[in-house]
Amino acid sequence: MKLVNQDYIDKINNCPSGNYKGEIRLFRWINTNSIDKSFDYYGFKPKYANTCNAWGLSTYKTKNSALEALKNVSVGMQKRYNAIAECVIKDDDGIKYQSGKNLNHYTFFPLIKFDLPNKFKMTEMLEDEK
Amino acid sequence: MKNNKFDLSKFEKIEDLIYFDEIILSHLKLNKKNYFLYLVDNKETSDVFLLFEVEDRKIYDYLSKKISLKSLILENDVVHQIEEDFEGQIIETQFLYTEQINEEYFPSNDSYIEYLPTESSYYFEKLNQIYNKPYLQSLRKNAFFVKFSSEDKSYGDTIGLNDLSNVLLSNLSSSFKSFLKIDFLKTFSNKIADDKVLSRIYKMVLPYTDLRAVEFDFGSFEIGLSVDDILTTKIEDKDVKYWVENVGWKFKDIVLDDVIDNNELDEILTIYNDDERLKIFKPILNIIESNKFNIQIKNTNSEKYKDLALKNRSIANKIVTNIEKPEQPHDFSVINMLTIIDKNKKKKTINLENTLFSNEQKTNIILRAKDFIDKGYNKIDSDLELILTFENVDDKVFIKTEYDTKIFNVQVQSEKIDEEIKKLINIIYEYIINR
Repeated sequence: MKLVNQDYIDKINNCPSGNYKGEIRLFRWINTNSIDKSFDYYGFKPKYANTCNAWGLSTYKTKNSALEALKNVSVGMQKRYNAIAECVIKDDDGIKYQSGKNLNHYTFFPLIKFDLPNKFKMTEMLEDEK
Repeated sequence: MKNNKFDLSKFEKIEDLIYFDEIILSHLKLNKKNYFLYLVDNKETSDVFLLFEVEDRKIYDYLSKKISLKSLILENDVVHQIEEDFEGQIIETQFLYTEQINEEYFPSNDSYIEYLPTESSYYFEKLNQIYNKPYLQSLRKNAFFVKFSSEDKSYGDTIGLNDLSNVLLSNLSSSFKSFLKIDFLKTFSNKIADDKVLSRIYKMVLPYTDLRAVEFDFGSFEIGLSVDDILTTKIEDKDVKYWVENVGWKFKDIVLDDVIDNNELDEILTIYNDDERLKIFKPILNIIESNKFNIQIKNTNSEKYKDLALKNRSIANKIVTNIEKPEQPHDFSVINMLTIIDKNKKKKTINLENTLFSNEQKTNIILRAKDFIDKGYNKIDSDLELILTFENVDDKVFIKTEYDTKIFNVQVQSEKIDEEIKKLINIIYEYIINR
């Protein structure tokens, strides 16, 4: 079964570069008003085309670490998101692993069949949206 | 400045700190200085970043949730704003004063983060020391405590913020700063003969001597002060490191002591000459002699506060003799200003001179093409922008800038700063028309 963006991923050596085995609950910022746009891939920017993790989706290991990271994003960019969503990701949903140098950050490469908008469930609306 | 020559590839990337599908915040280094590159906007065909300088120890403060990202940005006078296309090519850069930054480009007020580094992280060892040692607890354990209270009982013993900043903390800081300089010279001038080396080491360690406030109490004002012995691990020379770690307590034991017996008094009179004693002790006496405030000290949080020995008039009179001090030639110095934004987003600028927080030795302003044109120098690229740095070096103030990879500088010799800047403009313009 193919991953989303498999053709691009195949062009990069050692990508995906890890594979965490077992179930894990991961959190991601989303916008409940434009849920489809909540799962964009930045590998489509040419400067990131050869960056493996840009073909996956960023997630955080805890709700708190996701919220903390969001508050460190510029206020203008924060406005694109209005909620934190969570999802328990299993081995047959795609490939996921801790990435970067912050233990709380994970990258998730979903399989094409994985229904992102419905699997990531809103768990907390952000302050301004309550 | 619409400057396409800006080259981010000269910077060494230390680590990406925050990412969400793409890199949001990175730590970069150039010429031993630390910078954060911060993605603040995605436009239709380009990304906008802020690039700003960050002190080494402040990076650890940020990563361990002690200071916000927003505060780190606001600590700069000037930042670079960089626009880069999706190919990674820089389209435009400009210098901005922090107050000119688009409000939407700042993170939230509570932009704190607890960074959990992997073993391969650049920060792994130091952050683990900070986390594992119970950092604040260890600072608290080593702190001594100073209490200011008001003698005016109509307000209980409450201290007003103005008095706190203008009278109490500024005098305490002034005394501590004099003590630092005098004690450093006494400790190291015999070991390090070269004055320039001595001065360089002093400037290098000065930020680490900052006493960190670890405990506050309200009403009367109580502050626990401690020297940070974790971040001083960056100081390689063992003797200098020992001095930095102990100078706070040495200051407390000599200047803020609750008991000064005859032996200690003789020692103070022998070690420090009249002028040195005046600089170190007089600011503390200013507090005591105002008759408006009381200053007390204790060695640990659980003890009771005690009056300073300096409150005893006969001891004070022996230490600070009432010799008329000949007027000193006026030294020019950089005045450190801090701009803060209050809840109503109004900016206020505070003069930080003689406060605990004024160890910064330089400040920056932007010089634009218009500044040249105003002085009649018209043959100038209308996009030109330069950062002028005002810097204290050996008690002299210099204005410096870099242009065309060359350093231009003038020494400030009068109080008319505009005139001094004009001198620098003349030199740069002469270079531009002759190159």
